[in-house]
Amino acid sequence: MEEGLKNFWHLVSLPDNVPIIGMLGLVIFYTWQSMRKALRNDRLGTPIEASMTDRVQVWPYLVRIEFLTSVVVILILTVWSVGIDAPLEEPANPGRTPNPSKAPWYFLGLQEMLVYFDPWLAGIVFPFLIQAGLMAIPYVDINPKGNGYYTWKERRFAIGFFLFGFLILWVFLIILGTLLRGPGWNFFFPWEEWDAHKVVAANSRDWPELFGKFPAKNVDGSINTGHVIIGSLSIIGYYFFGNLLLKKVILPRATKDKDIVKKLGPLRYGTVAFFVLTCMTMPIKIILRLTLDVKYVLSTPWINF
Amino acid sequence: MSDIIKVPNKRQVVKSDGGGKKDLVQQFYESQIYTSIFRHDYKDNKRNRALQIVNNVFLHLHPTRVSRHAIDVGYTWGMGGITLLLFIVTAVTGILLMFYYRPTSEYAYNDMKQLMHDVPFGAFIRNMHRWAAHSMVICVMLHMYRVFLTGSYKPPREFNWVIGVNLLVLTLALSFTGYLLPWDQLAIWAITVGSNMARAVPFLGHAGPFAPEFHQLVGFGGAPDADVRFILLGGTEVGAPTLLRFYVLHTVFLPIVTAVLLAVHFWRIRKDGGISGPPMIEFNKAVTDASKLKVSVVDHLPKYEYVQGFKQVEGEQNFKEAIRKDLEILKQKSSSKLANLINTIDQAAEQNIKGGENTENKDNHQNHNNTTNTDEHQHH
Ligand code: HEM
Repeated sequence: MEEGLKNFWHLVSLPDNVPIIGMLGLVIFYTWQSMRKALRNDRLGTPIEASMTDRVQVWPYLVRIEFLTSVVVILILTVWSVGIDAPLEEPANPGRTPNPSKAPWYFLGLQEMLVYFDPWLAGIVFPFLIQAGLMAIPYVDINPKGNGYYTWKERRFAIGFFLFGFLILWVFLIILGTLLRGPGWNFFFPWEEWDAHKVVAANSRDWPELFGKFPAKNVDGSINTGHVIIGSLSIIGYYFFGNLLLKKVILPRATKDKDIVKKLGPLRYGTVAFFVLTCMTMPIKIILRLTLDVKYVLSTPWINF
Repeated sequence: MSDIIKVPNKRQVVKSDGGGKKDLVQQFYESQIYTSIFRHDYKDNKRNRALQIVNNVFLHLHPTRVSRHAIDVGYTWGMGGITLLLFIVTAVTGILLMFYYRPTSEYAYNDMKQLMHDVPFGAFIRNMHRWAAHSMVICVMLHMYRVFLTGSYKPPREFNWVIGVNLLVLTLALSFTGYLLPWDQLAIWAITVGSNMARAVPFLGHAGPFAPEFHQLVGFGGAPDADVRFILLGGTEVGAPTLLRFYVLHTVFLPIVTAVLLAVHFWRIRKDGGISGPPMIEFNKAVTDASKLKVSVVDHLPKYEYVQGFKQVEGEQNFKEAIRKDLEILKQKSSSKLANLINTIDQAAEQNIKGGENTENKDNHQNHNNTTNTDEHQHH
C-alpha cells in the first residue's frame, strides 16, 4: 500500500504529467463555471450576455486584457521552466522496451481504446471518426438556439453528448492511462504496487460464446458459423435498436420536439445516428469487458469487432 | 534641440502649449522618431484609440470596437488568445533550440544533454519550449470546449469550427513530432507506441485488415517494408531516418501549415462578425453596420438572429412590420444582380414569419422548432 502510494505520487509529479494535473483542474473549473452560467441563463430566459449590447473600444479595453494575460502566462511559464526540468532519460535504445510503454499523454485516451478494440479500429478508424465527427457538428446541429451564450435547456442533447465524449471518453481516459495503467497496460489502483508479473485473467471469451459453444474457430480451424451469425446479428441489432431508441425516444425527449428527426432529414439524422451509436460502442465494450469478460463481439480471420 | 529630434511634421497634430517649456515626455511624443512610428499623436481621444488599432499591423487583426461581452473573459476564457501566445512562445524558443540541435542519431541526444547542462540558459529554453507546447495542447482543447459550450460553431461560423478542428489536429501533430527529437528512451518508445498504429491501417498497413490481399493486388501494404508506417518512419522501426523526417515536419512543414491556417482562422473570425454573441448582440452589431453601410440588416444575419433581434426590439406584435420594411429597403437599394438573392431571403423570411405566427401562444420550445425548419442562412 505504502509502496503503491509512493509510486502513484511519483507518477503524479513526473514533469510530463504535471500539466495533466493542471488540465484536470482547469477542466473541472470550466465545466462548473459554464454549467453554472448555463443554468442561470436558462432561469433568466434572456441570456445575461445579451445585456452587454454596447460596444467598447479595443484600445485600451481589449488590448490591456490581452497584454496582462500575456504577462501572466509568460510569468507562469518562466516560473515553471525554472522550477521543473523537461525530462531527458537514457539515450534511445531500440533493444530495451520499457514496460509500460506509453504514447504521449494526449494520445492515452486512444491507447486506452486498444484494450477494447483491435488496432485498426482503435488506432485508425476511431481517430479518423473523431476528427470527422467533430467537423460534422456544425452541419448536423440545426438548432438555431444557444448560439453565442451558455445554455443547457436549449441544447440538452448536443451538450449532454459532448460533455460525455469530452469529459469521460477523452479527459478521463487520458487520466486513467497516465496514472492508473502500469506494466502490461494493466490497471492498478493508486495504492497498488506496480507488479510487472501481475496475472490477469485472460479474457479469451467472445460474445457469442456466452450463448453456447460458439468459439471463433472450431477445433479443426474452420470458421464457426454460429459465431459469425450471432456476432453479426448482435452488431446489426445494436445499430438497429440503437437507431430506434435514438429516433423515437432519446432525440425527441432531449430536444422536446417530436418532429426533430423529420426536421433533420435523412442525411443529417443518419450522420448523427452513426456517430452517436459508434461512439457508444466504446463505453459498451468497456462494460462488457468488466462485467462479462468479453473480448470480441465478432471475431473473424480478417477482422475483429 | 536639434532639428532631427524636433521636426514640424504633417503627421503631427499636437497643439503647442502656449510657448511654455515642454517636458521630456511631451518632447518625445513630438519627436520625429515617435511620430514616424505611430503616425498619430498620443492624446487620449476616440480617434486616436481607433488609430492605435488600425495603424498597427499586429493589432489591426482586431476591429477598432467590439461588443462589451466579447471582451468578457468569463465568456471566451481567453483560451484562443492564450493558445496563440503559446504558439508564438514555442516558435521563438524553438528557433533558439535549433541553434544547438542536430537531428541525427549520432548528435541529437548529446546536443540535448549539452543544452541541459552546458549551454547558458539552454535548460531554461528547452523547458519553456516543452511546457509551452504541453500548455498549448491543453489550451486548444479548452478553447474547443468553450466554443462548443457557447454554440459558437453555429451559423455563420461553421467553417471556422472546421478550420479549428484541423488546427487541433495540427497542434497534436506538432507535439507528437517534437516528442521524438530528444532521442531518449521516453521519446523513441512513445513514438513507437504512437506510430505502431500505422501498421494497422486497413489495406495499407502490414498488420491491418485485408492488407495481404491488397498487397497481392498492387504490391504495397502487406509487408513491413512496404506500407504506410514505412513511409511515415522511413524504415521498419523508429530510427535515424524517422528522426530526420519528424524534425523536418516539426520545424518546417507543420508550423507553416499551422501559421497559414491560423491566418485563415483569425480572418474568418472577423468576417463572421467577430466573437459570437446572443441574438440581441448579433442584431445590434448588424444594425449598426447596416446603418453605416446603408444596407439592409437582412443580409448581415443568419435568420434566427435576424428574427429574434427584431422580435426583441419591436416586440412580438410589430416585428413582422419591421422586417417587411427592412426587406423593402433591401429591394430598393440593390441592383438587378441581387434580385435573385433577395427573393430567396424574402421567401425565407416569409416562412419564418408564418412559423412565428403559428406558435406565438405556445411555449418556447415549440417556438424554436418552428424557426428550425429552414436551415439555409444568409451570410457573407
Ligand atoms: C492553434 C489553435 C487555435 C488558435 C490559436 C485559435 C485562436 C482563436 C482565437 C484567438 C479566437 C477568438 C476568440 C477566443 O479567444 O475564444 C478563436 C475563435 C474561434 N475558434 Fe479558435 N483557435 C484555435 C483552434 C480552434 C479549434 C480547435 C476550434 C474548434 C474545433 C476553434 C474554433 C473557433 C471558433 C468557432 C471561433 C469563433 C468563436 C466565437 O466567435 O465565439 N479554434 N480562435
